[in-house]
Amino acid sequence: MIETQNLTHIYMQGGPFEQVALRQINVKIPENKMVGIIGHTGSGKSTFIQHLNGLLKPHHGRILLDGEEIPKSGAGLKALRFSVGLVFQYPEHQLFEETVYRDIAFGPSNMKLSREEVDERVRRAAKLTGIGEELFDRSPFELSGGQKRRVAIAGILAMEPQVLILDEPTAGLDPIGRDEILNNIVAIQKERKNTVLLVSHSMEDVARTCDEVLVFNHGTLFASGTVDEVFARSEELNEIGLSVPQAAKIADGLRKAGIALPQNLYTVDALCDALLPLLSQGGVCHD
Amino acid sequence: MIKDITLGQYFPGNSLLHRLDPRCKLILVVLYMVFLFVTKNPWVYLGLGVLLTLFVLVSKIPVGFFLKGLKPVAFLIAFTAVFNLFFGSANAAHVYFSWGIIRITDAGIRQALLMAVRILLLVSATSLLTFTTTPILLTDALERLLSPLKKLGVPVYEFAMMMTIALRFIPTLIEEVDKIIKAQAARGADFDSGSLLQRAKSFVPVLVPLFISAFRRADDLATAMESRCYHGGEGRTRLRELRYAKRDIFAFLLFALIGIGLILLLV
Ligand SMILES: Nc1ncnc2c1ncn2[C@@H]1O[C@H](COP(=O)(O)OP(=O)(O)OP(=O)(O)O)[C@@H](O)[C@H]1O
Ligand SMILES: [Mg+2]
Repeated sequence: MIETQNLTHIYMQGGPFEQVALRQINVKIPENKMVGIIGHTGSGKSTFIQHLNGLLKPHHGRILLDGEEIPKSGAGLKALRFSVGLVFQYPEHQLFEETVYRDIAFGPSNMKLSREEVDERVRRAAKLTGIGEELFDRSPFELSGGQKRRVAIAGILAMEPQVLILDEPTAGLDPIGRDEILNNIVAIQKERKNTVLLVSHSMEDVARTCDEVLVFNHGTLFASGTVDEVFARSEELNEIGLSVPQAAKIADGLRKAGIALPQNLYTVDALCDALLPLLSQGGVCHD
Repeated sequence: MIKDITLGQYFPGNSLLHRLDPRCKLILVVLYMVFLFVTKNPWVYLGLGVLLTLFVLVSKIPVGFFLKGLKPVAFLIAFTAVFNLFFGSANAAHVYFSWGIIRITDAGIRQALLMAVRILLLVSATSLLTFTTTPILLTDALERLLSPLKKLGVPVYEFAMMMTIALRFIPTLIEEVDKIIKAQAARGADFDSGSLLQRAKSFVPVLVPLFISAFRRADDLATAMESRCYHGGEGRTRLRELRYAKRDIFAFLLFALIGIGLILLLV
């Protein structure tokens, strides 16, 4: 379990552009869950997740992993990076090796695994992210944006971390690629029973894939809870510049029009399941 | 860590020092450097130090922030001082310690102190200039001051443009380094443990992607300038023309007085 206590982060402290990016964040992230993180642009999501693998150090407060404060340096910190894998928001900044293969292998190689093991992991990660082996010898800088993103995700998946953090992993991907990668991540999560944190601006993706949601607003934690609990507060979410999934909006509109629908309709599938029986009853319109 | 580097940065403000004409500031800094190197008289250094402190206070830049900006050169200062201390001048009156080629002498100590103070004041003066002047104004000033050289065929405008771009991209490159280090650290690369040599070595893999991205950036910038029909300085006008004001004249007078004082002191 990951827990933060009064986590506060200030960029450029003491300088002219000082910016409090996180203010007193107290949160508990349970194990073996998909957790969505939403919030307006600049709300502190990326800053928050970079604390969880020790890339950023808090100015106040602490971060606990399984009840123990995370190490600040040395071998412990290195081990932390292997157990908490972070895919950055902009993949092109994450790639640096000469070839795609070596880039994906960078993490596992640092873990002092055998060559065969590294090779196996690279191939498995490439497969999960849909990178063909013909790309292995290409320079990562010559790839398209979407391909870069896949390689970046593969580089982290190859470390097989216990906690997987993805900062907008599907931005800039085509719809099929987006679903493919998200579904693979969900499958991995189910299979390996790890914790996944998914930062996303897509309420649909969050509603479809996540169990819990954290909502950030101007550097504070605005709300947290299950998907149902959070998306039930649609008006408040609207006020802080967020929204609820499209399906929820439609359900809301239908309810206002007098159609009796159950609560908790946040995904297209759920909405369909609720509407189809009504249709087969021959319609419910009043006039 | 790496992001704490404030070298060449601008610190927004509206102090007297911020409002001085950039040409004036540039000339004063050059004069200040000349003052620094014409004499070895400790009283002069004390005076110049006090003068600089006054200027820092006038600029309203937080002293802590200013001092933090000097940290990257602390190593350079220490190195020069130690070097001068151990291998100091030959014509010494007292030798306090000697071992092989290492000799600590009274002249050496004096030399070491002098160099340390000189570098410290030099760096402080120049960083005060960049803290209080935007890169654009700075290069404008440089271009204007050097414009007589255009007659000799020196491409002054191009130099000024290059300097603008260089200054503009210092923070960008620092940010880039920070991102690459983070990306590698996130996958288990080790930057903060091991000996100094090991740590220096771990930065080599950072340089390759840094160069790649710098070249790509340069390419993008060239395309962007090209597609906006950029061409050199000929016939280009400015949004803000530089004009001297009364405060600039006062500043010049102040420095002229100090200069005269120095000359009197020296002869
Ligand atoms: N390296 C940095 N230096 C200074 N300020 C920063 C830095 N990174 C982020 N900030 C500031 O901290 C605040 C939070 O930024 P953060 O990147 O965490 O937002 P975010 O929620 O991830 O936004 P987005 O949805 O756009 O990715 C912003 O106001 C931003 O300007
Ligand atoms: Mg972000």
